[in-house]
Amino acid sequence: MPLVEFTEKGFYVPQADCYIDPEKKVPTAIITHGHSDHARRGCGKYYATPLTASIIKFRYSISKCETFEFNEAFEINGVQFSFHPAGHVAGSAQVRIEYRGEVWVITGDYKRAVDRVCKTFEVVPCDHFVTECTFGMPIYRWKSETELTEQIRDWWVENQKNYRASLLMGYSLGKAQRLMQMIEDPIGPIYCHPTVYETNEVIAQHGIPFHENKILDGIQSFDDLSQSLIIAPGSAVRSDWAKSIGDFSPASASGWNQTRRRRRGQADRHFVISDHADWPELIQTVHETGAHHIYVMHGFTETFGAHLRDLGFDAQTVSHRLNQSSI
Amino acid sequence: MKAFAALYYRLSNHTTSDEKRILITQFLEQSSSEENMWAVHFLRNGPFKRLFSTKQLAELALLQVDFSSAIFEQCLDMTSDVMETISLMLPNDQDLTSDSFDTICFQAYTLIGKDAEEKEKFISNVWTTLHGDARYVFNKIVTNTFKSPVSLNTLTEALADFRKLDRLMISYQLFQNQSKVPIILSELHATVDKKILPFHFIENDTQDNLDELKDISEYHLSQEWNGVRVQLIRGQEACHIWTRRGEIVSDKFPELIEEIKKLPIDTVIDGVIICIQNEKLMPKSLVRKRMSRKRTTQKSINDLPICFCVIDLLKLNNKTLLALSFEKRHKQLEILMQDFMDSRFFQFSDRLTAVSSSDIQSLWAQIKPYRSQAIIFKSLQQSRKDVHLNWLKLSAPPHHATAVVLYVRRGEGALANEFVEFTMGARHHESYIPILKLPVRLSGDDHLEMKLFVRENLIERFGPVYSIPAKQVFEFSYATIEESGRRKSGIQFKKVQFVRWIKDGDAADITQLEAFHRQLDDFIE
Repeated sequence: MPLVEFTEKGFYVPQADCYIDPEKKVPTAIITHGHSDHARRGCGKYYATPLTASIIKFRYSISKCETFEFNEAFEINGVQFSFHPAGHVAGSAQVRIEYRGEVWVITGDYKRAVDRVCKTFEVVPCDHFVTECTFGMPIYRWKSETELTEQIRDWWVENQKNYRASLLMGYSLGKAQRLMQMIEDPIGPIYCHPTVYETNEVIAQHGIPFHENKILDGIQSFDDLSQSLIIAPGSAVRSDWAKSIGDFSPASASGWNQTRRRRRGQADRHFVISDHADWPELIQTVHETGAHHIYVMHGFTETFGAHLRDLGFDAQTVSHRLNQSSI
Repeated sequence: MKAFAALYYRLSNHTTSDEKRILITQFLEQSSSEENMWAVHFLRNGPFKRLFSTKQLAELALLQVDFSSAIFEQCLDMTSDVMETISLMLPNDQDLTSDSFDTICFQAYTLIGKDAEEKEKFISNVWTTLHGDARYVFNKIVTNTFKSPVSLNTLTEALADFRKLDRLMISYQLFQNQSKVPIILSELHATVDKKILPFHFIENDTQDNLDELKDISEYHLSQEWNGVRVQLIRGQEACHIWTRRGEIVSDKFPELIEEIKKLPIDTVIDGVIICIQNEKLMPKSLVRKRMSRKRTTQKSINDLPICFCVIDLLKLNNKTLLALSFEKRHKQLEILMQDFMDSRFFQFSDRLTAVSSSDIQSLWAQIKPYRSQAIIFKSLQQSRKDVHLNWLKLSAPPHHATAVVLYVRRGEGALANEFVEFTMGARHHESYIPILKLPVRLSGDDHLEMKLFVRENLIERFGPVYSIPAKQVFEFSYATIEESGRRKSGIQFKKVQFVRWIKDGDAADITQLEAFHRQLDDFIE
């Protein structure tokens, strides 16, 4: 019996009778991070890092969660599990699974770049490595943090000169916090959309410091937002909430902005910032884990899998929709 | 290179000419004179012989990476642009220092005609020192696929701002300098012969009615030509055609230039270039089409024949006539034009006749054959010395029609929460054919009502566009209809305006497509 099976409900560890990031309701779920495609309501029992537990409690009202710190091992029916930093969003973790000397690592989502809100990715040696590859194509290569920060700051300065608020759009969990913390010395006040603000508060309770930020609830009127940076989820720009801002310049922050065809649309500026590993980071990570059996999931699986096979790895593609065959 | 790439990216993303002009001026102020020289060269689509073809460049790029050509093809599917794929897939070195934009351009320029090995070495070296957008622009330059994201007119305005010179002088000098090497901006000077520059173009003041005109007999009445307003300059050595926007279009109308040469030396005529096909007056867009062609071929001269409608004589035999009244200038023009009675390139405007301002209906009938939608009133006694002098323009009352909403489109940016454009359809047999896109900003309550209707009746959504059942009837006005080979309806409307939302309107009662086509036939005849 393989240690990990890929089933319709998600990654299944039969020996421990538990699932990792299940896609359906299961009795026991181990959660890598708080995004909705990884954490779902309705499971019997949850395991997560303390920060992820707080996030899923806030976002999905999940309270039956047992928490373990990074690198703290715990056992379920003789199988040893531990969480290791994934660097994706606050609280995000890889899951290491060990049983009778065989080691698997399931990354969830991860990135290697520096993020002041979450712990930096840790390379975990293993035999079987299940990696995401959202940006598993060679055209996806991220710029340095310094260069990105400079771009955002320049845009903010330009908007301040033109007396326009700077509305920066990114996911409310992960991107929003990273964007806020990227600018070390803010040149104006920072406001947050209510969803972002509340998520910040949950994260801040775990001792992660944030720049001073205020809630922009769309009801309260502010005299002047023209010098401010406003962080909001992408959907907010189309909502009535955006009307309270007055004149603003919208900008999006996403890894998908890398290609010119994706830079069209509702934003004045498109910053290429992602919370996922880029092509060189994905390959670097696969090499560093020392694993020979690689399983690629989420994203350009065919492209990335084919390249790993060219490099001599035993790489298999795991389709997003699960089937009964074990991997 | 990085700064020019950033400029290119921002010019490609900004839509208004004013923003583009400011961006270019800022770039010119912050860059060295050598960088400016090359930037202007590429922004005006100046010629640059390619070092490599697109295919050769892709082959060279594949030698630099450690993945297969199959993966390259998959990347290409994501971008649909070979240059972009190459620029993104090559490794990025951190903390790199690249040569300046002008050094790279100059090196590329000197390599034209050299052997492939030398070129490959140069391109590979530059690739290692550039990132994303900069590498993309570089690839475009060396393969000669760079397309300027800005019009020559906007570039001219930016240069005029930067050099603090008259834009006509910049325009003239850019026109004069068509060579393959870039021009040095400091050599753009203010001392061009003023004889080759056009006089001030008189604007038209739009009037709603004729009440302000005390005595109609004090005016010269003529139709507004449906063409491009220009001034013809017959100089001592050369002849030029200037548009009202300050562009020189002499090279676009060589046949007219030959005709201008028959005019007395140092003569300037104000008028309009129109297009006439098979003795029918064609829309202004066809004249613009000829102007937009990069090269004027005999085929385009034959396919889109033009004619110059004279309006006013500004200079004759080196004698400026601006101080004379319009009446006197017009008489001199009549005499001058007698020598061109047989010319198919010159057309003299017939003077419209109206007894009084109440005679307006007869005027609309007189201008109808000219596809014109307005009458210009020129004061007979006023001279052209006063630069603030404007001619009066009375537009024909717009036509009204009803159509049904087929699609609504959401705005972008700050308008992302509102519907900003409605695709209107006309009835054709039992179905509806899209006829125009109507820009509309509905008022608060109306917008909410429309939003609710769209939410409850949505058929399909394509990004920001929502398809809805053909039930909502809008009334709109338009000045004229033109033929269109690019639209399913076969027609396009000019000067369209939203009038009202007929909430109790029945989609079965809207204007039929055939009715629009009948109207089109009326215009053409």
